[in-house]
Amino acid sequence: MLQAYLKVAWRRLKARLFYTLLNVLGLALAMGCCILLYVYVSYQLSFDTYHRHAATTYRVVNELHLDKTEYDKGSAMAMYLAARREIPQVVNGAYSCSRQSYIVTAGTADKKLFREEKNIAFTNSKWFDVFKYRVVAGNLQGLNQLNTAVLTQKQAQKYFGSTPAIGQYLQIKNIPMRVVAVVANCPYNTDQNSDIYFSFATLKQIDPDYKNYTNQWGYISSVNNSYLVLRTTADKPVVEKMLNQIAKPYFGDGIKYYKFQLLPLTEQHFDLRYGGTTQKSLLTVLIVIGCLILATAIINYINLVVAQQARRSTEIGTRKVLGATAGRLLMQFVTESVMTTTVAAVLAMGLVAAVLPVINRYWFSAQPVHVGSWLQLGLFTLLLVVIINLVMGIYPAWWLNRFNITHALKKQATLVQTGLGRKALVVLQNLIAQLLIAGTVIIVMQVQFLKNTDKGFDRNMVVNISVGQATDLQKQRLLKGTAQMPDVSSVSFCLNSPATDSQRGATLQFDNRPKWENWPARFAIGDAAYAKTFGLQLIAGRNRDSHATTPEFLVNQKMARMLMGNHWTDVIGKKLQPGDPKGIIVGVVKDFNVHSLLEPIEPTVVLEDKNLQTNMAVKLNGQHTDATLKTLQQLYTETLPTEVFSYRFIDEQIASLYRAETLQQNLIWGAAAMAIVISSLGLLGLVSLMTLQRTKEIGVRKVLGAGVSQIGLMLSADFLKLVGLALIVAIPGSWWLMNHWLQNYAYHIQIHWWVYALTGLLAMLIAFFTVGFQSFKAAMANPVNSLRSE
Amino acid sequence: MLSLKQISKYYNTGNNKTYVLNKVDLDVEQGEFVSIMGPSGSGKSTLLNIIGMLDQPSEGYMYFLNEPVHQLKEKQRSALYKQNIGFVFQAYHLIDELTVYENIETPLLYQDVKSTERKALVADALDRFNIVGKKDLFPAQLSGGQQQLVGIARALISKPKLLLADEPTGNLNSKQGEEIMELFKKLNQEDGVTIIQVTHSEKNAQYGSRIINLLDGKIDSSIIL
Ligand SMILES: Nc1ncnc2c1ncn2[C@@H]1O[C@H](COP(=O)(O)OP(=O)(O)O)[C@@H](O)[C@H]1O
Ligand SMILES: [Mg+2]
Repeated sequence: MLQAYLKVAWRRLKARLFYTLLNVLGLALAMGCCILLYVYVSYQLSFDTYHRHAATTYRVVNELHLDKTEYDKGSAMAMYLAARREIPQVVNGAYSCSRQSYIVTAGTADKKLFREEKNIAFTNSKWFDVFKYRVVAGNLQGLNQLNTAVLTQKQAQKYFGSTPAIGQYLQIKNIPMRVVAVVANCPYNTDQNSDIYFSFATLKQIDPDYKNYTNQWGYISSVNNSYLVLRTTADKPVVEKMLNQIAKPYFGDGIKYYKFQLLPLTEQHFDLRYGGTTQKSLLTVLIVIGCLILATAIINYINLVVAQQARRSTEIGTRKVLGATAGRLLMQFVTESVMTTTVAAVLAMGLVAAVLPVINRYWFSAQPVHVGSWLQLGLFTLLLVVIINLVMGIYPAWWLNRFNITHALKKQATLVQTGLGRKALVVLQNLIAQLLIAGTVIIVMQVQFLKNTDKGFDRNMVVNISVGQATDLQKQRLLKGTAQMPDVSSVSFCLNSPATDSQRGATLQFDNRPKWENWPARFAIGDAAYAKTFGLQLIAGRNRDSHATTPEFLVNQKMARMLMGNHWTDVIGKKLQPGDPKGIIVGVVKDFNVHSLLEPIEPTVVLEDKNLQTNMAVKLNGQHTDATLKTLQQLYTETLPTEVFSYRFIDEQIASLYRAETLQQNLIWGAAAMAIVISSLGLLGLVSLMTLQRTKEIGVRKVLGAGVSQIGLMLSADFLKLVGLALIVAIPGSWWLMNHWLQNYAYHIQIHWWVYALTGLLAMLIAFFTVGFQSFKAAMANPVNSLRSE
Repeated sequence: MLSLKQISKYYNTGNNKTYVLNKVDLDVEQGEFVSIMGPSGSGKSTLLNIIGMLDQPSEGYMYFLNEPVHQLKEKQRSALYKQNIGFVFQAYHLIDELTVYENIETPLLYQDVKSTERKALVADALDRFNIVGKKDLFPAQLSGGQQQLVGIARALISKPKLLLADEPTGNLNSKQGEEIMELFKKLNQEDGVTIIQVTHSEKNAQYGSRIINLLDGKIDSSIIL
């Protein structure tokens, strides 16, 4: 029997090759999308789930409740040690100070300098107890001694090539570090990815600032990581309560602003407040989009089945008379759909294997996606095939159940169907495609807006060059050198350019007010040339003078208004204490964004902090850029022989702020393109079937004198009407959805009517080209042929 | 073998019923060859479909091989007709995707007949109807007469006691028609298959042993030849 099903299915699929290909292609594309999305989603969900006690491991984080709540993923080592000592529910834990940058001296015969950017961590062997690493060589216990290091394989290779790394020495700041162990490179799905681990005990030697590190409760910084392993997940609320209790004596009255909490390790990847990089909502949206695309392909299939139902009903009737039960007839349909989807699934897997590297290169370059297990992927594909077939089987099952033999076998059976269901499906399909088109247009516009809009500063031709802990003297020499360069218009030593993701700020005291303001201000840290280099616009007062004896500040207009309301210019000359330094306000600048445009403009102080000004921002005039960069490099290596020269234009830096948005843009763009292609395939199949079924009618109309264009338009119009109908639903739907999305951004575009005009036009054009060709071909056929064939 | 008592079939058109069959009584004995005649729309096909259990009467009783068909459940009814009734259609209704061989084999598949037995039965039928040479052709490659021959072979493959044919020669020319009628006669007389056919042709009707005339859903006359 199975053989009979397979044989008939194969013959039917072959006889209708055109429709079979349309179905296979549509399903393969849709399944390919689903598989890719599955790879992406499951990859994201797997982050840091593989550690020994991942489910009961928590990161200590805190909320700082000022006017606006601030979130910090860092925690003081003092608190970590107290928690380990005093809370019995904490059974294990690890602490590190990560994302450190140093110049590392290494090598076997000839020593080389390496600039290591944010991939160095200070920790001890506990770290490797809580997090799962594979030891390749050496012993991790060595990390508990002074002056030791653990490297990843990749890093050991980089420093020492094929020479065994164990026992070799690295140097930072002239302090030697002995390599005691090498661990396997981090798996892709982790956020705990440092390449170099130095023994924690050595930190004090390297940086005197860290002298009191172990008992400073206020030393909360996002690079300080405490992880606690609890007995069970049920302990979380108790431990959180105890953390706040043990912190109390050390924070005094200030404790009321703090709320210490535990963030589950497995949530860390998704909590944007605490440095997570992936929104769970994005994953949800992707799953929904995957389902919609799949629905589009399934609708294609069902539509073609329905459209051929008239032809097929005689066969079904006959088989019933010959003794077939509804179940056996359904098996025939299912065999066909299983064959179609199986071929499509194989094709889809091939597509995924081919496309994934390309997508990783262009879309996910910042965070490439990796297939965790191909076996799992195969099982998912199998599941997909099963689900698709179940859905595609519903219609034939329903139809076969209410099937009337005598009606089907009647010679002139009235086969005029309203086709309402089919039309609804076509509308639904178009709706999906149009929502995605409109979404793409709007997201692209918003991302372009985000990337290209500067609020109150000028990004053009500014280069950031890291100078590390350069001395004042070295900075002087750099300034003198750049002053000689005709194409450098301004140089500023600063912490960051405007529009970054760094978080610095503090609450402040203004003028002679007895109380500190209850809102924090953001800091833009740099010397007096900061304003000129970044094109800040002074609207009152004067610029700062670096040589003044009392520190001088600029504030932005927003802050001036928050301090003095409408008399905001009066802030000039008043005293200000933002955090530690005390000084006076000398000028007000136009509002500029220190952060990304996701956030509104905040009160901001421009101030000097020599120790933090590790960055040299150079404004170029745009001429001889390459030559100027070369001269800059020469000057740099002469002045700072222990540093490594590298530069970055700040517009690149700004673009990287919107990585998540760029990714969303690419994903939705791809999804929209897929939805369009798949629904066009469906339309192509439908229109060719329809014209086939209406051949005779077309012949009669032509004989009666209808012209080619009249008939072509008549045939196309039926479909275009459906596209138009979908548009009517798509406009309000997408308006609502996209406005909702735009609310995520403090600065966003307005949705203009022409977005929908464009969407409609695009959808119509695509439908018209798909449908039009077939329609006009049918309209041009010689009526004599079509009428004779009956 | 077959007995219809007060069989009616009506459709609701608006408020009143339109009778297609009106209290028909009919008995057919084993071995008979009945031709049903009557003007278009008189209810011939409806009657045949009710006898073949493809359609159900609105009222009345029907007994087939002493079974009260009107009391049987769907499953039992379908088992009863699967084993005992064969159908031949005016439009042949061969399955386009299947070869001649496979078309004839299909009823056996649905009755779960074993493969070896199937092969023997189909080979037999091909032989008997002289279509061995055509067994691998598809319906579209055959003439109308040949298609109907396959249709009959298919109807007879599971050795039914009753053969129902609705205008079996309606789409054929007169020579092909005659051949089919000769075949029916032979089946009836040599193999003892009971046949009920609907026909418009007076001449074809003469092949049978009885002619029933339907008019407006009632038996107008029943003539034994
Ligand atoms: N589903 C239906 N609803 C209403 N009337 C029907 C239906 N099916 C058949 N009829 C009517 O029943 C009558 C008898 O049909 P049929 O038995 O096919 O006649 P014949 O085979 O003698 O030409 C016709 O007038 C036809 O219109
Ligand atoms: Mg009829």
